Amino acid sequence: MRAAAGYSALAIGAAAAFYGISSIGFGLHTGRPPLVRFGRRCAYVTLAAAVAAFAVMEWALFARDFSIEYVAENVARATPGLYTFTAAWAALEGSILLWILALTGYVAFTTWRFRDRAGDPLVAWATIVALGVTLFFFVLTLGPANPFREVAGAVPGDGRGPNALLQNHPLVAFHPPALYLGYVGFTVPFSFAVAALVTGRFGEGWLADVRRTTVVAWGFLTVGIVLGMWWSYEVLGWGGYWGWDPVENASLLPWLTGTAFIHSVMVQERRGMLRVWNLSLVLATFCLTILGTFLTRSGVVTSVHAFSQSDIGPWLLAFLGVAAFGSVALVAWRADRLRTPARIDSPVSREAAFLLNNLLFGGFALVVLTGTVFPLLAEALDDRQLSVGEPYFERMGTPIGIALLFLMAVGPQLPWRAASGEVLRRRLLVPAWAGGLTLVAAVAAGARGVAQVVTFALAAFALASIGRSVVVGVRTRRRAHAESPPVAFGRMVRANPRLYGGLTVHVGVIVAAVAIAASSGYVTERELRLGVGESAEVRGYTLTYLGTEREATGQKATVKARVAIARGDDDLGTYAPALSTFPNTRAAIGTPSVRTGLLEDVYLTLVSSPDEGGAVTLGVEVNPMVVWLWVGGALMALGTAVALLPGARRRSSRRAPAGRPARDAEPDRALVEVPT
Amino acid sequence: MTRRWAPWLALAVLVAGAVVVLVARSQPSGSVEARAGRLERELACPVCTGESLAESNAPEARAMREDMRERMHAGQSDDEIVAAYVRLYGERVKLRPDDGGVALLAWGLPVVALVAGGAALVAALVRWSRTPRLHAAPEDEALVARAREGRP
Repeated sequence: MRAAAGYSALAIGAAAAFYGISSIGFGLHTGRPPLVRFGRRCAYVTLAAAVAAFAVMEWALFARDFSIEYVAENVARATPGLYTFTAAWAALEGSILLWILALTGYVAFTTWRFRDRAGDPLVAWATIVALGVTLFFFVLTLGPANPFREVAGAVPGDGRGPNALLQNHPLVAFHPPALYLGYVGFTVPFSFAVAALVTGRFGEGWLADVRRTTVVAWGFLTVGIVLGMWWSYEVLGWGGYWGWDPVENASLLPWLTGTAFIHSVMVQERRGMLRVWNLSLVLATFCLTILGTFLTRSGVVTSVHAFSQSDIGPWLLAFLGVAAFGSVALVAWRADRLRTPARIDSPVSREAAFLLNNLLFGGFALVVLTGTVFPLLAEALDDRQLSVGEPYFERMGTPIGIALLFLMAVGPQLPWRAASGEVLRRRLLVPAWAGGLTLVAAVAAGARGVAQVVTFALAAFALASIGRSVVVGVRTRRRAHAESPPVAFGRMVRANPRLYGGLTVHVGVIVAAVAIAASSGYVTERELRLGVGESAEVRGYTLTYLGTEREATGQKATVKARVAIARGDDDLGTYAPALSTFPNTRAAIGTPSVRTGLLEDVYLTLVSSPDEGGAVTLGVEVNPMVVWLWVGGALMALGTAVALLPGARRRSSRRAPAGRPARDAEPDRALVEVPT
Repeated sequence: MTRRWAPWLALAVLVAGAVVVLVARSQPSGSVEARAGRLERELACPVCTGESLAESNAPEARAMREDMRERMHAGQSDDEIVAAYVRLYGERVKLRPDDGGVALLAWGLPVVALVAGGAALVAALVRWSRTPRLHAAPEDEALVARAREGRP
C-alpha cells in the first residue's frame, strides 16, 4: 500500500515535469502565455510530489514496512529514531529521492521568485531546462532506482539496518543533505545559462538573476565538504580529514569550478567580458555534479562512499553525455555572438587577478579530475591497474594552493582597470612585511618543511592585506560620518555585504590553509600497548589507560577504552576511544576520541579490544591546528551568509515588468569602456 | 627611486635569507624511520579501499610496514622496496604512477594545460597592454581622491 502510494507520487512528479516542459514549450512556440503559466505551475506540483514521496518513505521506514525492499535493507527493528529518519538517504535509491526533494525545492523556489516575469522567454526556457533535469531524476526512481520496489517473496521479519558507518554518528543527518543542497543548487544557474544561450540574451541580466542561488549552492557545498572532513576526522578514526577518495574529489570538482565562476562573474558584471568563459564554467560545474553522482552511484570506482553496484550508471552517463555535448554545442553555436570587444588594460589590475585566479582554479580542477578518472583511463587504454593517491594530488595541488594564497593577498588590493606601481607599493608594503616577518620568525623558531612555512608566511601576508582593507574602510567611514569604530564597521559591511562577505570567506580559507599545512606537516604518530593502569608519554602528554566499558544500544555493541590524558601536572580529562560492532557488518567500526586544543589535538583510537589480560592497543596522534580547519569552515559559511545580505548597491532585479528588454540590453558601454 | 624601493629590497633580502636556511634545513632525513614514514604514504594498502599503508589499520598493512623497515635495515633502497612490492601486489600498490606510458598522461595533462593557459593569458595581456589606455588627468585623480574621502 505504502509502496503504491510512494510510487504514484513519483509518477505524478514525473508527469508534472513532463507536462510542464511540454506546456511551456508549446506556449512559447505558439505565443500563448496561459500555457506558459500553466507549465510553470507544474514546478510546484513536482515539489508537492517529491515531498509526498519522501514523506511516504519516512512513514514506511518508521512503520518498519519490510514489504518495501529499501526499508528491509536499510532499517532494522532496533534502529534508533534518528538513524531511521536518516536511513531515507542511507542507500542509493533513497539518496536519489533526497536529491529530487532538494531539486524540486530549488526549482519551485526559483519559479516562485520569477513569478512576475513569467512571460519572459529567458525565464521560461530556464524553467524548461530545470524541469528537464527534474524529469530525468524522477524517471530514474520510476525505473532503475525505484525506492519503493517491493520485496520478492516473503516479507522478512526484521530488516538489515543501515550501513554501520551510517548509524554510528548524527552527522549523517547533516553532511549528505548539505552536500546535496550544494550539488543540486547548481542546476539553477545551469538552466539560466542554457536559457541565455537558447534565447540569445546573454547580456548581464541572467547573471544577476542567478547570482544569489549560485552563492547559496556554493555555500551549502562548502559546508557539506567541511562537514564531511569533520565526520572523517572525528568519527572515522584514521586521523585524517581528506583522503583524495574519488567521491571526495567528485565534490571538490564543482566546488573548484563554482569558486572560479563566483570570481570571474565579477569581471563580466563590471566589464562585460568573459561571457563564453563564464557560461562554460556554469555548464561545466553542473556537468561535474552529474559526474560526481555517476562516480558515486555507478560502482565504477572503488570508494568508501560508493553505493552498492547498481544499473543506474549507464543512465547517469547518458545524461552526463547529453548535458556535456549539449553545452558544448550551444556555446559553439553562439560563439560568434558571445564575443565581446572588451579588453584588459593592465596585467596589474583586479580583472587580471581574476583571470589568474580562474587559471589556477581551472588547473586545480583539471588536476583533481585527471587524478580521479586516471585509473579508469589507464585500465581502458592500457589495460593496467594503476592507483592515484595522496602523493599525486599533494605534489600537483600544493604549488597551485600556494599560488592561490599569494593571489588572495595581492588580488583584493588591486584596483579595477589598472594600478600604478605607486598605489601597489603603498597598499602592499605592510602586508608583505607581515608575511616576511612571519617567515623569518618561523625559520628562527626552527620550523621545517618549505611548503608549510611558505604557507604560513603567505597566510600572514593575505590576512594582513585583508586587515588593511578593513582598517582603511573603517577609517574612511569614520572620517566621513564621525562614527565609533564598531558602528563604522557594521555600516561598512552593510553597505557592501558582497565585498566584506567575500573577504570573510577569504579569511576562512586562509585559516583553513594554515590548519591543513600544519596538520599535514607536523603530525606525531605512536601506537601504544597498555595494560590497565599503565601510562605512556607521547610528545609531552601522559596517557593512562584506566580500563574498558561495554555498552549496547539498538544494533550497536560498543567497547570503550577509558584513557586519562595529562600534561605535566595538568589533568586534561578522560577520553574514550571505542570500537563498535553491528550485526550487519563484519569489521568493527572504530570511533576516535579527540582532545581538542587550540594548538594541537590529541587523537586517540582503539586499535584492538582488550585481550585476556585486559591490555589494549591504542593509536595516538598529536595533530597540530586541526581545530582551525573547522573554524575556517565556519568563517566560510558566515562569509557566504553575509554576502547574501541585500546590499545598498543591489540593483532591483526581479520586479522589472515582464517583456521589458532593458534589463538584458547591453550596458551603456560608453560609460564604462575605453574606446579602442 | 632608491628610497621608494628600499623597504622592498630589505624585505627581499630578509626573505631570501630565511628561505635559504629553510630549504637547507628541510632536506629529507635519511634515517630508516623518516624514509619509512615517507614511503608508507606512497604505497597503497593492498587489501583496503583507497587507504595508504600509513593510514590503514589492516593486519596486512601492519605487516608491510614492519617488512619495509626490515628491508631498509637490510640495506635495500626505496626503489628496490617499491619494485619488490609491485612484483608482489601489482602496479596498483603505487599511489603515485611514475613510469612512462599512460602514467605520463596523469602528470602531463594538467601541467601542459596550465602552462598553455598561462601562456595564452600572458600573450593576451601583452597584446592588450601594447595598445595605449587613457591616462587620468591630475584633476580627475584629485576628484576621485576627494570622493573617496567623502569630501564634496
